[in-house]
Amino acid sequence: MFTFSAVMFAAVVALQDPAAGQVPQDQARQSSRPGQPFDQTFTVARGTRVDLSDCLGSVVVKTWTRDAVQVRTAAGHRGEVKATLTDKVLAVSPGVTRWPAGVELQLVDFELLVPAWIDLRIEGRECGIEINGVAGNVTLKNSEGDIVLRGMGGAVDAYSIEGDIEIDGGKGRVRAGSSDGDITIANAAGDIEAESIDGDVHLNDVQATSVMVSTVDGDVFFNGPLQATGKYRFTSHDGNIGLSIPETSSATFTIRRYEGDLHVTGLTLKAVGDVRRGRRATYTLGAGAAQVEIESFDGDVTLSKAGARVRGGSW
Amino acid sequence: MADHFSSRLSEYLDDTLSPGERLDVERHLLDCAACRADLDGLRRVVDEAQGLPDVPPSRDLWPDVRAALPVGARRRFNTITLSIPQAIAAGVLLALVSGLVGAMFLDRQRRESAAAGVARESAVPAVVHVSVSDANYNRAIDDLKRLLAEERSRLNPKTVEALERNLATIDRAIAEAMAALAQDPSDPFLNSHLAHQRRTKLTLLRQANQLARTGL
Amino acid sequence: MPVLSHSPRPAVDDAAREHLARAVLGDVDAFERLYRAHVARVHSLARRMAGPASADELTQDVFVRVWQKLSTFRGEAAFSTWLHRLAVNVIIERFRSRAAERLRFIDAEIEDQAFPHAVAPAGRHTDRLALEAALDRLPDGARRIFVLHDVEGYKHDEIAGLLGIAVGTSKAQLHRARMLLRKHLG
Repeated sequence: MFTFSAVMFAAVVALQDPAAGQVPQDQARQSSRPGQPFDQTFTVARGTRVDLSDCLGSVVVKTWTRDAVQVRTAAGHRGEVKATLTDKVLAVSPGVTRWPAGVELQLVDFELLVPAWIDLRIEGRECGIEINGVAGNVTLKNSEGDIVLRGMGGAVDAYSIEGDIEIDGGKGRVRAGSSDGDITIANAAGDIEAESIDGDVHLNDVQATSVMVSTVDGDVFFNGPLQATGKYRFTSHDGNIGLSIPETSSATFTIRRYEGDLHVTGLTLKAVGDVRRGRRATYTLGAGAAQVEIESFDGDVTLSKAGARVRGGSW
Repeated sequence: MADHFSSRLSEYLDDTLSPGERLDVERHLLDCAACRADLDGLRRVVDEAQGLPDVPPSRDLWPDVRAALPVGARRRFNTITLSIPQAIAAGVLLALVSGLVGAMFLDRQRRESAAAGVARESAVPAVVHVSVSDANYNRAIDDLKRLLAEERSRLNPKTVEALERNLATIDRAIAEAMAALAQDPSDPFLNSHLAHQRRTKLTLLRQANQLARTGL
Repeated sequence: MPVLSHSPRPAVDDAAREHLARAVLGDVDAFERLYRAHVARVHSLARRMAGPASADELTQDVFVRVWQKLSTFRGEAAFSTWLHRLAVNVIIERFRSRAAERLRFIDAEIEDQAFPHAVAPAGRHTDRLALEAALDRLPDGARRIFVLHDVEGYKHDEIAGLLGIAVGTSKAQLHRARMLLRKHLG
């Protein structure tokens, strides 16, 4: 009886003891031989982050219900994939060398299955990234390759020099930046900061109550309702800024333009103060609840009634 | 209200406010001529401070310094006995001189000694604290551009082209904003617009440097 | 012209490094070269932080300390940065060692009395002279924070660590110093 109880006690302790979830020694570090496929699963504890560095190819991340991370690559690449789990970080790399001028490197395509709570950090050069349903915090950086995120739950930081960034659905705060690519964010509820230099920024049906969008040359398109408690700021130097919102919206628009034109279609705006003085004009729509600031140096500003969505082209 | 914003003007000038706080201050500046004047004044003070020259002492202090050096320090280079730490340090430095070690130095110095002509060494940029004042900003931009030029070969040529295109876009925007500001220097919209474009350029260069340096 | 172009490193870098290497090995003549290269900056720092009366003595203390600590320079930072940090530490140690002089950071109203007569601006050179003169008249604490932040480029968390104050105090004192100087510059 005593022995049975001791065994049961030990089993209960093992189940509750965080140490019981530790990765067995033989799983802590895994690597593949060059050219061989890689398929390893690591048991991970809550709070673990996956760090995928030097990505050159693509990464597709999906979630499952296990507290484990499966890392898979296909065969045929030249690198020696490495994955090392230490403390709370699973470090994964394709093992390819750095970019030497004039050398074609084979790409490594990763597939990751992760628990939804995981945090992710993925960085790479030509690295297409697709992540589905991760609720942890996600930090992504690449030079080239599109970044596509769906159903995210945590904070998102995504930056690309050339790639497009597409975020659909999301509860956490979003910071997205692309120098050359377009940014499209839809159905997101957390605070949004989006910045592009030459690319366009599209926000569709976002429920965020804090939105800051900035471009230098790219256009800005906002389609969907304004939240009554929302604060919005849209800034561009040369790009056009267009908001397509329901006729029943309640918002105060403060618009600053240097040389661009202002067009209003299908909305009944009431001017506040002298709209001819200086370069700042204020208008209210309905009760004026949402605060919307629009600033454009040379681009046109268009406020239109929803239903007249315009993607690209002229306003 | 005015006191609340006035006390934040320095942080606004130093670009250390959160985006939301910055927005609040910029909104306030549109309506408060006194705060705009204060901000201009603060900017001038900071610019002057950053431009203060280094002035040598009115008398040569070297004889006193030399006399105060610890006994036993008066040796010439070719009759030397080194302690082990000195030998290690000397080895490191001689290796640097000979170019065998490609170390990158973290350079947090804000002002160079023009008289000595000591040039700034190549550095890995930490997060550089940059205010919107010209001297600090221009220095940060020059540092980042130089570092990026050194690491150019690590980036895909296509990425380099995109970066150059983006930088040209921002530079054009900055030039246009500055030209407009020259016509109307006190316009708050133009002032904040120019500051924003400069921040954008700084952010782009920082990001590009990070991507180049992490071996991506 | 592409912005991402290579630029050659100036030759003066190698000469400065050689002086440093020799000084580490005990060459006093090489150390004098380093002294000549950096004394203006160190003396200016000492003068602005501690006042003209203490600047010469503090400068001497700094370079003696530099000589003593040369072998600890590992090259992780530029030598000028390392020397400057050492100088700031020596100067602040001097403040702490004076029992009668404690840094006081209180929300006093005495600053308004520091500049009873504003001086109208008369050109950039005159502004800089005016700023140097005005610095001497700032309250000690505000002046040191202004010098460390705006002249020397330290961040508030660094200043707070150096002076043993809160970051918020550093920010408030900096703003106060700037506003006072602004009043003086007109």
